[in-house]
Amino acid sequence: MQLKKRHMGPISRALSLLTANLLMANAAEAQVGAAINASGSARNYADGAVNGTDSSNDTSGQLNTVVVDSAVLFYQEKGGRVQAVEPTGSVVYTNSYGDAYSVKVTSDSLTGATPNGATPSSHPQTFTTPARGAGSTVTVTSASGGSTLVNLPGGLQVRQYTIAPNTLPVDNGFRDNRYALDLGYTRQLDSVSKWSIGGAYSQERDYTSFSVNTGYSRDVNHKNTTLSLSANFEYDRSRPFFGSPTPFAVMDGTQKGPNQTKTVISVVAGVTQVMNRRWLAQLNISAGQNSGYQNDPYRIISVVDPTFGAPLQYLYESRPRSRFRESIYWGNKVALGPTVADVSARAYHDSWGITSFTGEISERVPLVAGFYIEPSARYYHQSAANFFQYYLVSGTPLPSFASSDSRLSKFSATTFGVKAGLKILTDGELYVLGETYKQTGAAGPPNAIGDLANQNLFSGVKATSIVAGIRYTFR
Amino acid sequence: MTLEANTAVLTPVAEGLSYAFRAMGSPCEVRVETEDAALATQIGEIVEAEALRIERKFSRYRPDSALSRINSSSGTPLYVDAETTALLNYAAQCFDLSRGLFDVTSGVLRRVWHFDGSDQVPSREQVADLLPLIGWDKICWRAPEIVLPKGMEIDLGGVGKEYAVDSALIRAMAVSNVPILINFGGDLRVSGPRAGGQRWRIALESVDRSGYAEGSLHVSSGALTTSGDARRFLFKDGVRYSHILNPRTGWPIEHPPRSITVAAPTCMEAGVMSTLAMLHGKKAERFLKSEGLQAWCIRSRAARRPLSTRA
Amino acid sequence: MSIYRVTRIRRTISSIGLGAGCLALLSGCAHVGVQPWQRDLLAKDEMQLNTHPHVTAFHEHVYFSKEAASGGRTFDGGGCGCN
Repeated sequence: MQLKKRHMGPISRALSLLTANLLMANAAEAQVGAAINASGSARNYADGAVNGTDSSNDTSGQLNTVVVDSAVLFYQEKGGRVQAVEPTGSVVYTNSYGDAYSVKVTSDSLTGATPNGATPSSHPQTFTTPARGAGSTVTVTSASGGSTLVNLPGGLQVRQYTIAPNTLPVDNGFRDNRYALDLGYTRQLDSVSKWSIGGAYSQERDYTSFSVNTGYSRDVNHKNTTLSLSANFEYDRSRPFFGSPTPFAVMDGTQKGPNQTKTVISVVAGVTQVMNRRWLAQLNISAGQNSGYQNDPYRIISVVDPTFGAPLQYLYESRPRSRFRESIYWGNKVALGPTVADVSARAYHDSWGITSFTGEISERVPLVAGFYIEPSARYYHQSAANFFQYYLVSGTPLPSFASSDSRLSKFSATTFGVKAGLKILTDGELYVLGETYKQTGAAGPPNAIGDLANQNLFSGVKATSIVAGIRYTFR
Repeated sequence: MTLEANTAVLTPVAEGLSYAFRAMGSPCEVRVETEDAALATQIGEIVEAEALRIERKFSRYRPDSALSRINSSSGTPLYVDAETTALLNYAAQCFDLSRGLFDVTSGVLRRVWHFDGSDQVPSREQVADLLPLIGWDKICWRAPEIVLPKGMEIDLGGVGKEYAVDSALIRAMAVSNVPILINFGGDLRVSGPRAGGQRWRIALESVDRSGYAEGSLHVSSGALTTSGDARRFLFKDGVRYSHILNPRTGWPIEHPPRSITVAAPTCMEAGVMSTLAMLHGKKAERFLKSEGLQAWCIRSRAARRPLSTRA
Repeated sequence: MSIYRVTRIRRTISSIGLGAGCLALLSGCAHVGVQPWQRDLLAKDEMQLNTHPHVTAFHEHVYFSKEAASGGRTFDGGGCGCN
């Protein structure tokens, strides 16, 4: 007897498909099981299996677990700019009913140079900023020159640094450490709805942030649709050691104004929908309002002479105290054969006049049992804020707001990366990710004045990131 | 959980080596076409481990099994794991496909039906009392949460052994390419043809006289299951009651074949289809033909003879 | 069949049709989705929308400090002084 391809009736055809689906998970697990349990004895294998080492490839097995995940990010910008190391660790405990408790700690250590907002010039430029306490010996050397403490007549000590000609002015004197703690609690109210609450606290030397959030979600349509609504409230305090500069004040080494605060309220409404057996989609609409101090207290803007473009004066930047943001995000996961594709897009607009579009795609490709790679690409484009200026021109009236921060200018950015994951032990994963990020923008306005037409006024970044992480699920 | 002595036995057979053990209340065997005893033992142990694992998890006789946990939940919602979810979904689909004939909640009928060859047939009232406790549509199953109403039970005996055969074969084939035949008490499946394209030889047991072969099959791929009454029936007032119960009525199916052997690509498909065929009673052969399945039905000549008291 | 009986049936069918129509409108996308036994692929880890929370958090942090737009997927705030 040989099973030839027969004309199968409707019931046996459907049954054939159902059986194939049922046994698929076993087949996947058998590949890994074979590798791990090459020479185990029958009884040991059976006992181990009884204690619940089921196919860990399924999230309905998230109940009654403790998931420990820790990772570290290494971030490095080209040209001696910002470098950061950010380790983070989290523990999430889910009980047998579906309630979850989570705690996450993050620390962030930043060094390197960051653009100060001034334009490059064909002559050397010297910048004066407040010194951190008299008598301190803060001297920093870098590729763009060091900074020195200078005692001015009248007893004021300031920090000065000089930038070479035709070089983007950057300030090296910054190194910071940040520590953050996030706590969260999710309660499974009944089999279709969840409520969550959480809080976060983040502390840097010159910046503190508190936030609380709450959310509610409900499954409808036989759990094919999930509706969710969440709100977040954040309170931030900015305390540079020298106080906060008055917008458009002249850059100098004196102490500035008092500490400043801002609040952020935001709301996200979302729908997650199972489109078909292979496709899960999510649409989120969010809106947020920032109120308060939003200037970068370390950033200046050059006032240049109207003929040659030479810098005459440096003023602290000025941004509006209110910013309303709106965005729509559409994310998808599509299972195509053995691979899974992640495709998403986001459209954003805010009251500072910035409109942006983001598109991302990644494809997870399993190579051998327990190992996959996931190449990814991201494209981002934004328009300039309506108060963005490369520089101010002496003699023209001062606008209400102005900032030369490239992050508010018109530019596009691309990211290319590859992630790889390896399943370890029974329920763990080792993952690494490498990415390059590059921002591209116009070198200056079309009608750049004098010498500035020959300078590159765009200070966007080129950066490389590496993430390495390890995750384990305890059952 | 007591530690049972490892009573598996390795013996040479025509095809190679046979690893025999006991699981799920049946004699189980793994035939491996090899002379390598270590390999045969390794494969046999993997198969045995999987059979024991599934038995421990899904047997309704074991109070510590996942299935017993569900059966004793009396109406409280319970969350089940991935594998149980997959099997319950499969049971739900079979219920839909068979329009209610295949129903894993019909196990409660064994409380009144005891097929021991005697004449103890339950009364109409006894059976009618159980009918409200039968019906997959009465269960609230929203994966991974199940709410089993009080008094109802789930019995995976109709798919458990077949699932074990398929699952064990998958695991065994992951470690070796040698030809394998797995047989759990009559539900069997082969990994493929034997070396050199030869076929495995399977004997069909006679329904009237055990130990005698009714015929033999030559198998090169797929699975075989046999549903039959063997020695399970009731005999009262000249009427033979088969042990195949219709979940909708609670009473035995009339005129089912004495034995049906079905061939299919997997053991689970063969098992479900042979159960469904049995439930078609007189029309079993017609059902199997319309589904395009290869099957062998044996009908007792004794049923057509006048009353006999032979048990 | 008498004319009277035909009319009654027609009216019944049309009121059933109206009821079904209202129900369909109320249930909205009730027909989009899968049956519980078709969730095999969707249940896999890699089909979750956020498979690596720390990687997502790192991305949000980097993009928040280097670009003007933020959030969309989750909240807009950054929690750090980097923008």
